[in-house]
Amino acid sequence: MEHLRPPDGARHINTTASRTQSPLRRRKPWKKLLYLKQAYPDNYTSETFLSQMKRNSSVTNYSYWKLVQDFALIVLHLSNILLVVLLFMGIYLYSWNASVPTVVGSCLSIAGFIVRDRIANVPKTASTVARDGTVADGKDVLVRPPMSMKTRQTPKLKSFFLLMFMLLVLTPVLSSLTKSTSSDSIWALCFILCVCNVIFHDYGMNTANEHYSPIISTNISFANAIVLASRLVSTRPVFCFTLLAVQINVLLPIFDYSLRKHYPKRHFHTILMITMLAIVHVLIVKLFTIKLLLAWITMQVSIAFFLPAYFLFLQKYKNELQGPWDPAKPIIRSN
Amino acid sequence: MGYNVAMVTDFFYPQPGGVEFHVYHLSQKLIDLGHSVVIVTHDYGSRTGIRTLTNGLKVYYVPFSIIHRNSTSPTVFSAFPILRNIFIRESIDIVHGHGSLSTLCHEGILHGRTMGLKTVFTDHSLFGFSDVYSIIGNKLLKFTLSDIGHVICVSHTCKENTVLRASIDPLDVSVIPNAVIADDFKPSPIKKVSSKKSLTIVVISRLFQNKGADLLTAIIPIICANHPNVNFLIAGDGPKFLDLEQMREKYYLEEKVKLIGAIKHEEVRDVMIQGDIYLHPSLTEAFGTVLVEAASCGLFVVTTNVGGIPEVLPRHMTAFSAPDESSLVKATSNAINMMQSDMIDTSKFHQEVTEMYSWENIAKRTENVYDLLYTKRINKGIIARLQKYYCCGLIAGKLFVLCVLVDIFILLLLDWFYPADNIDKATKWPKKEKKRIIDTHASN
Repeated sequence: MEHLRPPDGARHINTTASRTQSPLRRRKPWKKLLYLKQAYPDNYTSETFLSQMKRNSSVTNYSYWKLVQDFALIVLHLSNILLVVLLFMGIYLYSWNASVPTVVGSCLSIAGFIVRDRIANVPKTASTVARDGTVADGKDVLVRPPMSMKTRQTPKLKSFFLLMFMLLVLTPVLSSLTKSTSSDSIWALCFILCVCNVIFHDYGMNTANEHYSPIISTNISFANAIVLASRLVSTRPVFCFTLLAVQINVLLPIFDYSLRKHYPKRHFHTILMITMLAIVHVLIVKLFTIKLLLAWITMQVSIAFFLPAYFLFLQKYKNELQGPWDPAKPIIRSN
Repeated sequence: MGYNVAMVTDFFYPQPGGVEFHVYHLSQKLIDLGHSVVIVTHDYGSRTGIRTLTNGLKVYYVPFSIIHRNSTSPTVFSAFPILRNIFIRESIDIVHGHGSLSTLCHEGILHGRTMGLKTVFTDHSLFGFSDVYSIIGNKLLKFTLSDIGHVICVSHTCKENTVLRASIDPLDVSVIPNAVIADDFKPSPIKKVSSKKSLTIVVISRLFQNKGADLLTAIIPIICANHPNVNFLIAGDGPKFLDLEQMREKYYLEEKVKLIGAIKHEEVRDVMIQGDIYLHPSLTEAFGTVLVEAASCGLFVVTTNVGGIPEVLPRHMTAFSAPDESSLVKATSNAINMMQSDMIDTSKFHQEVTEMYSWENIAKRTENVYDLLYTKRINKGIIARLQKYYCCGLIAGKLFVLCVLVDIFILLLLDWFYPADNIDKATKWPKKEKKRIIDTHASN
C-alpha cells in the first residue's frame, strides 16, 4: 500500500526525469491541466498527486450501547424463529394442543393491531405512554386497549381476518402438501429457510424510515410455516400452527417496529423482548435439557454483547477513499 | 520500424461511444506514423469475421457471447486460443487494451503477458470504491494491471483513480487525453449578429441520473424565468427524458425548450452550432470529449467541476460551477449575461481547440509509451510474475496466481497442439506507400 500515499515530491521528479531523459533545467511549474503542452513527461507525478483524496470522511462513530440495542434485534428475531420451531416440536412430538396458544396469540394479535393503530395515530407524548398500560404476558404483549379507537384502522384488522379465513380454506390442501416427501427433507428445508430468514430479515434498525416491510423474511417465514405445518396430521393443528407462526414471525416484528418507532426510549420494546426470550427459555427447558438452554443463552449473550465489540474493533480498519472521481451528489432544492 | 499493435476492446464500431472513437482515431494516426494496427473486438450481430477499414486498419470481429452492456462473458480463459492465433498471425508486439469494463480487453492483456508480449492498458472511466460492482471491478482491474507494461489514463483525475483502484506505481501511468477532429467541429460560418439578444443553450447528453439530468430538469425553469430571451435545445435520450417533458409541460415551456431526442455523432456539430452556450450538468466524467467538441464549435461552455472536467478546457472558454442547483443557475446566468453583453469572444475558440487537442499529438504520445516499453525489461521470469499477482490480496492473490498458472498451462497445450509455425502470418498492409504520403504531407 506504500505507493498509495502521496509520493515524496523531490524523489519523484528525479526518477521521472532520469527515466524519460528530458532533464529540463528551468521549467514552469507543472499544472494539472490537459490542454497545455507542458515540458513534463506524460507519466509525471507531482506532489499534488492525490491531494484531493479524502479518507473516511463519511464514517459514523458508533456507540457501543446503541450497537448492543441493534444487535439485540437479531437475538429477538432468532427467538421468534426458534419459538415457532419449538412450538412445532411440541405439537408434533408431544401432541400439545395447538388451539390454546393460537387462541391466546390471536387475541393478543388483535389487541396488538388496535394498539399499533392507536400509537401510530396519536402524537406521542409522555401522557400517552403512561395511559397505555402495557403488561407483558403470554406470547405477545397483552395490552388493555382503549376501546375508543376502532374506526379508522379497521382495514388492516379486516385483512388479517380475511387472511385467516383463506388459511382456513386452504388448510386441507396444506395438510397433504408434502405427504410424499420424507421428514428429513422437511427438517433440512426448514433449517435452510430459517437461516435465510435470519440473513434476509429487515431488522429495521433505523426507525426514522417511513416504510417498514420485511417482505423477504415474511415470505420465508410463511414458507417455513407451511412446510412445517404440512407434517401435522389433522387439519386443526395445521391451521392453528400456521396462524400462530404468521402471528409470531410476521405480525410481531411489525408490532415491535412500531413500538420502537413511537417510543424512542424503548421501554415497551424491552419488555416485549424479555417476554419473548423468557418464553423461548421456558420452552427449551420443557422440551430439552438445561444444557441446551445454557448454550442458547451463551449464544444470545455473545451476539448481543460480543459481536458489537468486535464490530467496533473492526472499525479501525475502515479505509474509505473519496475523491473527485466519485459521482457528485447534486443538491437540488425541491420546489 | 513500426510496432505491430493489437487494440483489444469490447467496444468498437458499429457501437457509438467515447472508447470506440478513441480506438479508431488512435489506430488511424498510429498507422500514419508507420505502425501496423489491428483491432480485436467481439462480433456485433451479423458483423463477424475480419473487416478492413480505411488505411488498412484490420478489425477482427470475434464471435463471443455477450452478457452485459456489450461486454463478453468473463470466462478468463475461453478467448485464449483465438487471441493467441490472432497475435501470432499478425506478429503482434504490443497488446493495447481499452476500457476497464471490457472483459475481452482483460483477457487480451492476461494472455498477451502469458505469451510474453508487451502490454498497455487505457482507462477511460472513473469508478468509486464503495459499491459492490466497483469493488469487483476494481479487483479485476488489479488482476489485469498487476503485470501490465504501462497504463494510459485520459485525465489526471482518472490517473489518480486508476492508481488507487489497481494499486500500481503512478510512474507507470501516463496521462494522454482524448482528442477531437477539429475539422468536424467547425463553428457556424454564418455570423449570428441579430440573434445576440436571444440565446440558445445546447445540451447534448444521454439523459441519465449520473449525467446530471435531474440538475438539468431543476434549473431549466429557473433560467427560463430569469432570462426570457433564452431557449434550450436538448439532444439525447434516456430514462430521464420523461422528467424533462413533464417539467416542460408543468412550466409551459414548450416554446422555449426543444427536445430532439437521440442524435447520431455525425449530427452533433449541426446541433451545436445552433446554440451559443453549451451546458454540461454531468455528475461524473473522466474526460468529457463533448466539452471540447462544443468549444471547437465556438460555444461557451458552462459545466459542473466534477471528475476530470476542470482539466479539459481553459478558463476563458468555460464557466465552472459546483454540482448543485443554485451554483449552476448562477454560473449559467453569468454566462448568459456575458454573452448578451458581448464580453466573450468565441470566434477564436475553434483555432485554440485545434491547437490543444489533435489525434496526431495523441498518437505521438502513445508511441512514446510504446517506446518506453522497449526500455524496460518486461519478461523477468515466471516467479517474478507470479509474485506480482500473489501480492494482490490474501485470497485474491492465490486465486490470481492459480489463474496465471492455468493460463501458462493452456499456452503450453496450445503450443503443443497448434504450433506457432503452422499459423499463417498475415500479409501486412503495404506500408511504404503510406510513408510516402506522410512525407508529401510533411513537405507540403
